[in-house]
Amino acid sequence: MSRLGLGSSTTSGGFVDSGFNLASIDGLKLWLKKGTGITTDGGNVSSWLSSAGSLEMVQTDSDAQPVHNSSTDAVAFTTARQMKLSTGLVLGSTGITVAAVITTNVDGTSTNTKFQNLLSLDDTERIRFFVPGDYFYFVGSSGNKTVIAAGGAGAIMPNATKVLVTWTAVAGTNGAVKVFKNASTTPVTPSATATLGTLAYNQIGDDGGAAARGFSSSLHELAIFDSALTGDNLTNALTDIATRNGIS
Amino acid sequence: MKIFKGTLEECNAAISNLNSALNYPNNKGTLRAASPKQEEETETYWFAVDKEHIYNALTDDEKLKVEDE
Repeated sequence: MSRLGLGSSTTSGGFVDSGFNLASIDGLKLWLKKGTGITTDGGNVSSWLSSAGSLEMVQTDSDAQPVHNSSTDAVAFTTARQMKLSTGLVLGSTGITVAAVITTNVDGTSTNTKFQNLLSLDDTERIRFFVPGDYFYFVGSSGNKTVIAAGGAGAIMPNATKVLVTWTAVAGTNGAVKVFKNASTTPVTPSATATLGTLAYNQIGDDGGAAARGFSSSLHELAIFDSALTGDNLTNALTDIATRNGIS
Repeated sequence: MKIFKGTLEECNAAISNLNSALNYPNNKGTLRAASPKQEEETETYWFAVDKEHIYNALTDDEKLKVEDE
């Protein structure tokens, strides 16, 4: 196992040992861990219990429940599928770190699938994945956008790619978005990033309505910290998540 | 994506039939088949029926109101 080159230059120490527990890092508010805490109803996910704290993502409507792949532990969101937190969570008072492992799913057949909100407050976007045409960006509440990948020669992330996407930011500043994928040794660092404000987080995906925006990719794991991780904490956390999800 | 589209009353009636046919609520965390969603600035409502178990539980008459979005 190799360490991801995410932390500051002062990062030291060896590999993350097998006893590392992500929950040991302060500020972990939501941890949807790969293949853990998932309740299904006929393959449809009705709840995903956080492995830290007591938060739970739920969806009680069968038509809106994402689908669990028991072989890969991927939770597939497509149009009109979403999960909401059972209790609201406000983040970002001092900073935020988001780490999400997803397999992208480009679906250009419907306008409802062209925008993929990963984090949102009801219909208000917070962090958006925009995938069709191989675009992939974050957009913050200010409207500032971070283009991660674009179509054509500049694309770094074709469709159906499993990636670890991270976003760290200190309150009042722009953050840093990075994307890791297999066989990529160079983190993708965008030139501009979304502006962090106070973020309220309560759902993944959207309802697929006429003006709504869904999340049509598969989610393997999601960790959200109420602080901007740095140094060993950041490196260890992301290495742990990447290793568990087969990203090296 | 296949959706059932109709008035609010038609959607609620179809969902009620689905809940009976699919035995919702159950003890696996599912309370209902769907919730109707309103199309913007219209009196038309819809819910997704692209999942096989939901579509198959619709009556023949209800399937006539299913369309591809």
